[in-house]
Amino acid sequence: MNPAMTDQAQLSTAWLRQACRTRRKVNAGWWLARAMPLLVMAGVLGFVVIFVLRSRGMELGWRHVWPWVASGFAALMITAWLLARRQFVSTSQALVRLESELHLHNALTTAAAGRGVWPALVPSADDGWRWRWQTLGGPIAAFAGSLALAIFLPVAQDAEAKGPTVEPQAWAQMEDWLEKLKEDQIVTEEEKDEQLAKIAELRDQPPEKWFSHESLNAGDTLKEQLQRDIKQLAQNLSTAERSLNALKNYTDQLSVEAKEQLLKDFDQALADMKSSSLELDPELLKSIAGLDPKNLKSLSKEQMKELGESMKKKAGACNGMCKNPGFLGDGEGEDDALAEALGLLKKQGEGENPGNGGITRGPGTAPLTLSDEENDFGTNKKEAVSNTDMSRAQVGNMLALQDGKHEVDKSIKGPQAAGAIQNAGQGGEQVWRESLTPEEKAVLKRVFR
Amino acid sequence: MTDAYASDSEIQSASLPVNALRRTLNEVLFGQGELIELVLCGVIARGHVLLEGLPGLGKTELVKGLSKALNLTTRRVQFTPDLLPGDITGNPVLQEVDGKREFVFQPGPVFTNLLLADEINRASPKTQSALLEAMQERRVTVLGQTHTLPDPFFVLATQNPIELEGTYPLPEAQVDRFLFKLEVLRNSAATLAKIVTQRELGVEPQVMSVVTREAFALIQATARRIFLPEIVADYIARIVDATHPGQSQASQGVRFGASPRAALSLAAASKARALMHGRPNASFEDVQALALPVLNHRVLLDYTARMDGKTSAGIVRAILAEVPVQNLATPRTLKEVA
Repeated sequence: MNPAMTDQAQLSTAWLRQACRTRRKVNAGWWLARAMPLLVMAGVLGFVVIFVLRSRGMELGWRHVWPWVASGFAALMITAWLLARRQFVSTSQALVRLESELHLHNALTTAAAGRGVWPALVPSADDGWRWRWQTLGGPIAAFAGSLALAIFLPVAQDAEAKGPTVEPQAWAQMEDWLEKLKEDQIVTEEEKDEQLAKIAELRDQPPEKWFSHESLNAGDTLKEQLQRDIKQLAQNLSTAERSLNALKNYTDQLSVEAKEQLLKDFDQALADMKSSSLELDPELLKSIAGLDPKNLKSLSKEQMKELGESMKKKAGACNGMCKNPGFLGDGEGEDDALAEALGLLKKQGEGENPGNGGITRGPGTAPLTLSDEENDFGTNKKEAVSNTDMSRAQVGNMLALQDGKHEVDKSIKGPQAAGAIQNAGQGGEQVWRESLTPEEKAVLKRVFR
Repeated sequence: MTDAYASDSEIQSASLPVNALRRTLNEVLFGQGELIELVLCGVIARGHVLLEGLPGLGKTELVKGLSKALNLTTRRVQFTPDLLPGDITGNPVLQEVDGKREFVFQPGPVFTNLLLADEINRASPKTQSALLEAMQERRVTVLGQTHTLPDPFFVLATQNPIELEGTYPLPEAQVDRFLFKLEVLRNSAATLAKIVTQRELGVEPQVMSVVTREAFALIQATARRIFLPEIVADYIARIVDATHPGQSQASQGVRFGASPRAALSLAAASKARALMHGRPNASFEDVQALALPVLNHRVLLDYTARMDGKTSAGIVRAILAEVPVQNLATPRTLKEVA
């Protein structure tokens, strides 16, 4: 083989390889130039998305995020490649670039076209392009920094998103009451479940709505209803128990009217219990309804005692639930010392029972008693009296009182003759004048401006 | 069969006489190497050259030396305002031929290989225009008869930039026929000293013929077969296009840009220059080196640009700086280094 031909082949290969390097470089440059703005936008978008999700309580660590980041990065680079593809250069263009930079007089293009020989290799063949590392590094750092910041930045989680840690107190209280009513065999299991279902319905709301006005109002209404029913039940049980007790123990001492009244009370209490909105335990109803109040002597003493105690106990339990120690009407917390003290104070002043009487009763000590401070009866206070309707004012009515003095001009020395002057000016002297007319002031201003 | 493009051996064999010509002319005219280079380039590209410079700088001497070195017939015409077109092209003269009287065409000075048109701007436009057909078509038509000019045929015209009173600026069509318009600059002190030492007033230097007419024709033919890469042709086209108003930033103030003939001239001159340097192809560097002499006289400025002190040469230089050799933008991620 001709050595010159071999050299030419080697030169051709070397130059084309160099051209391919240049082509790859500039094409990568275009690709990255397209990718950089997208990278910055993706970084900002990623920061916002991750940060918002984290602030809403989602646990997002690097191991959760990196698959999304990797796939997003790949999609971004593919998009950038598609956008940059139109500006990609060919190997022949890269050859032209090389020969123009190396001042080879278009020898490479000519040789590639088969019209000339390949020139000798240049030791430091340079295409004249350098990477702008700052332009490249900035967006990449911004992208990585945004994601890192979004992942690792401490974030105060949204209280609304997390939801309240406690629920309205009325719900727990109602649940306690229902549990106790069931334990004491006052209401049926079905009644308990029905009431609990109503509470559960409230609880099923989004937690951020538990303390909304509507929710609290609904809970309180439900609680008041239940409380009213329990109180009614307690009264009915007490009435029935008292009637039975009186009929059993004092039947001989009672008049016929009193007996009839007691029987009537018992029947009424029984009827009320049957028609109560709370479905009572069937055993309880059966034991009470099975009694014949006119023939109580047929029952043994133990049976009567047992029945009476049972009813008393249940009535006591119901009453215990309906205690309101607070004086504000919906007191909660039997152990609340302040509420208890206030309740006592209230009882002292406005109790149903007669007061204790004595000198300590009343708003306190009367005025005009000996004390460290002078008594203030408000007599030194002057007040203006006003009467908006002067047409009805009577003659002699005092309208106002006011302290004051006459404005006396003390500068007057004595009588003066009319036309006399206070200060007589001498001839030729400048007469000082303390006041000037506006026209004179204007003239002076104009002169001395 | 001749190949479409010149081979390396043809280029080498053409380069030798060109170098001899260059050496000879450098012996005739001292310190004007660049001018000699461009004049040689012009004649190899079969173009006409307009030389502009002050009197006494050696314009006529150069042309006479060239004609002697090329061993071509030379005529010289001193253009004056009363010169008539017939004085250039030739006139029909009534003669007796074989006992009959008939008009016989008497060829003018244009019928030569190398026409030196001294101070061409002193002739009337009518006479200047008589050269148009001769320069472009290389033939003359008189009384309906067409007479072909000898081959090769060049016009090397001179004009003075001073004493413009009573002169007629060449019309655009006339100017466009010239391949180059070259400015002859004054010599340096060292060159002047050499001239004073080696020359004597009134004595013409001895010039030997170094190239035969046939060899020169071969050189011209070889120059036409120099490879012009497509990318270089594209560069020429973009440069010429950029001379037109609105086609580039640099063309502000241009009234008329260069014609397609300018593009052809630039391409031909680039090929000739490549041959002179022994290269098989024209290149960007050739185009850049020849753009100014080719386009300088073809870019016409408007009034305001001239008032602003702009020149055609300045515009061409700005265009060369603005138009890249290749339409290849640089991405933002890369930077150009010198």
